[in-house]
Amino acid sequence: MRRMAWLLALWLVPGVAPALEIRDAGHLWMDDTTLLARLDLDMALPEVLVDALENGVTLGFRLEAQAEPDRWLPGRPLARAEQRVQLSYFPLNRHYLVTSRDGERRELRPTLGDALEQSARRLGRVHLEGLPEELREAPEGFRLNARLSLDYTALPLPLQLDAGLRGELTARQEWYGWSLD
Amino acid sequence: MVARLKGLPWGLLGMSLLFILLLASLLVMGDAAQHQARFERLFIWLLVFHAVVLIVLAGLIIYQVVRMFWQYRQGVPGSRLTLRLVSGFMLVAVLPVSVVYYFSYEFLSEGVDSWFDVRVDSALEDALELSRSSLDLRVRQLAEETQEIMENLEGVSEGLMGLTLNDYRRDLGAQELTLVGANNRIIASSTDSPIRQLPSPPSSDILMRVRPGQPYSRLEPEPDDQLVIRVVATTASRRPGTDNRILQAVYPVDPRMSALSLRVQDAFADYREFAYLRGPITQGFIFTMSLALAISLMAALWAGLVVARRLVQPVSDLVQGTRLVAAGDYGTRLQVRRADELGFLVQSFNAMTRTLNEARNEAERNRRLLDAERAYLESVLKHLRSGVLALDGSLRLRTANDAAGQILECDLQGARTRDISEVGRECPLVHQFFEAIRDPLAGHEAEWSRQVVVFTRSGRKVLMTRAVWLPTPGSGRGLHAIVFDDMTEFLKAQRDAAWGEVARRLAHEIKNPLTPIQLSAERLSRRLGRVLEGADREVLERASGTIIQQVEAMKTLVNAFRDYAQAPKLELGRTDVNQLVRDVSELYLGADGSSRVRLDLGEGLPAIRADAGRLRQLLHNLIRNAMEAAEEQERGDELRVDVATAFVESSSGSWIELRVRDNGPGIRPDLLERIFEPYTTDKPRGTGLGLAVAQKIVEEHGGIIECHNDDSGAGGAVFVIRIPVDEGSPSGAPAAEEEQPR
Repeated sequence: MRRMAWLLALWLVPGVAPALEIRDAGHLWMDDTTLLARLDLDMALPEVLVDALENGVTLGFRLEAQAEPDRWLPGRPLARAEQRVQLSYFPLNRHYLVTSRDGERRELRPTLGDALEQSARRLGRVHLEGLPEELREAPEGFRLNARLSLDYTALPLPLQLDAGLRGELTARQEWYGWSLD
Repeated sequence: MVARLKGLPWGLLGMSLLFILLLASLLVMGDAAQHQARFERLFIWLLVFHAVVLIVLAGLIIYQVVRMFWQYRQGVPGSRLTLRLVSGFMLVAVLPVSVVYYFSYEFLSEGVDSWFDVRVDSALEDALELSRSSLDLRVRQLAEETQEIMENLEGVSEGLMGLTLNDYRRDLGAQELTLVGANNRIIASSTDSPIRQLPSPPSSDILMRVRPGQPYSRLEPEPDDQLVIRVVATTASRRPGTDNRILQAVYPVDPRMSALSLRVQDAFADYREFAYLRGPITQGFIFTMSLALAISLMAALWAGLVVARRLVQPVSDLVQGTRLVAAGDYGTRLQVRRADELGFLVQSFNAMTRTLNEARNEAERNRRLLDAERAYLESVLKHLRSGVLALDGSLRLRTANDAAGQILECDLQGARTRDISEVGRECPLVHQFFEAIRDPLAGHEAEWSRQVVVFTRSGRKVLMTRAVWLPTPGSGRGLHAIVFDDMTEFLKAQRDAAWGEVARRLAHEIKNPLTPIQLSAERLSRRLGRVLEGADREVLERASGTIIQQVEAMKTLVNAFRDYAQAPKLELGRTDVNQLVRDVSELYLGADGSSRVRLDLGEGLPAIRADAGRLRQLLHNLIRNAMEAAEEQERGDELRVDVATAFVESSSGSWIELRVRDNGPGIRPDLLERIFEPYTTDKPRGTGLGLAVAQKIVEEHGGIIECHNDDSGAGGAVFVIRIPVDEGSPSGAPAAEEEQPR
């Protein structure tokens, strides 16, 4: 609910979204129950988030992917997956730290570009499991939709409030889709 | 129950609840501001709640303010007072809140900045730099040692490599030493723990940074909050085409050093984040405070509106009620909404209107009673044949009935409230009447009566007048009530009756001896005439002739008396008045055939029921009277009598009017009022009975006759006779006062 309230508030306020794009969905592979996709992501941050990151604020990124029937009206997703990474600054060696969702995998990168690239690689590996039989039999009638976004609720509240109300951030992100044919 | 629920001030209760919630939310917000986690958890809800409250309050206030200004423009009672009160409330609320807001803003702006000390910032930076330097030193040292090991491994065969790496690992206290060959093939590896997972080859980004003889090293955090130093080295003599091997070493950092460094880093990161967020935090506080201020001001404005409305409502009710009372609605009752002084005022207003209503009803009852009495009195006065006048002390006319106006020949209804002297200038009879009674009126005599004689163009009027002075108790003022009767006709009728009786007796007493006297005189003349001769005979004949002649004259006189006194015995029949006039006028043809009677007969006259013989006598009497009057003036050749007929319609009925005019000297004014009485004549040879008989004939036919002198300049007297056309009532002529020909 809280997240929805924030999203609603930030959605209504015009602002600058991080340049989080999904360029392509390559290397699609599907077996009986699993769809593997490697999404080509392009991640760039607005200045306010770069400042925040270098001043100790941890940024969270999320990639949502779902397989659903390819039709005009959106339907109930048949399978869905979510990837999360955190990006933070590591002052002891002036590197950027990319941490997995569970915190087990940590990778350091000397530049922000490297760190974003590593984050994109991490997020871009999607595993959709539990696919229904009809998708496997006729994949041309289905689509893979994915959305990459910044986790606003993970930001410190003053930053959410200030940047959100100033219009420096927005929660709007686009869905990208590919046919599974 | 429903009525009781409806009577509750739901708006006030709702706003009170809202205000309490607002205070609670502000308290929560103040408490949450002290705890970051709670602040982040609650802030959005508080923000949403305040936004909702703000929108609700803004809506309510906009509605109330628009309504207030609309009422102000419409001039609704109490709206001006409401506007002033609300303005006052707002002024009282805005001034202190603005002062508090200003100082709070200053405190927040400056206060938050004061939390960040430059020295603390610098100390943390230095501590981090110290940790960084210490670790860098260790990293460089380990990098050099790892490079030496890599150089030493140049000649070691792959079969002995595992043991060699194990020895080096133990010597250097490393966690892991891994030798990687081409294509990331692990040649050998040594770890300090058998449960440690298999070593992973260096990542591609590390491999890109490794140069021959220049190891790549860096500090890395471990998931268990430990630091490790990773060094990747290759031989300095690395040549293309050879098996380029890479040694990766992972060294643990001293746990204490690691913990201290991470703690310093965390503190530094937190401080930097906090310092970075101080602007947003300040803005957030100011935003929250502004929100609270806006809500407080709106609540104050709303409360001011409500309080002002509740305060002004009784005043508005009173103003509205006063307007209604001023408009005559004494039934107005105001709802008593309060138990304070304003409520008492409303109760007093209700008591006042109740009293006024009762007084108005009582006055209305009295007025109706008075109207009924006045209507009754006016009805009585209207039907009275006596004239009634009421004059106030200054002789202004207050009341006059119709009979008074008819008797005094003046429109007295239109002369009310006017001074009677002023009215007298327009109505001669009124002037004469009040000149005659001015003295007793001026003297305010309590009660008096007198006979007043006034003169009109057609004669005099005798008015029997009685009056009383009705003083108004305690005021020194009063009212003259004057009642008068026109006794003229009554007195005339009395005289006529007396004359009739005289005439009847005269005729009876005188006529009887006349015939023997005449016969005796004729016998004496006849017998003695034969005896006497000469002068005696001549004396006898002259004396007997005189006797016989005088007896004849007396007979004529007696017959005239008889005609006057004789009870009417009419032989009524359809009579054409114009033909009758023509017949009579032919009797007055001159020797030369010319007539001295000029006719002006109206056309289309209806026939009337009348005694033609009596009417003929009437005409003879009038024409003869006119001729004798003209002859008296010795105007022989100029003698002229005009006879005119006309059909007249008036409110009293239809009449045949007969008008006889002569060109004689007219009637002396002193005789004018008695002209129709017997023996009233100014002619030496007249009997004085002709006009009396004429009047009698007219009255027998239910008509009226009147006489006046012609004042148009031609001179002479004018006799006007009206005979009713109504066949059924020859004796039912309308009252003379209803239609008086002039």
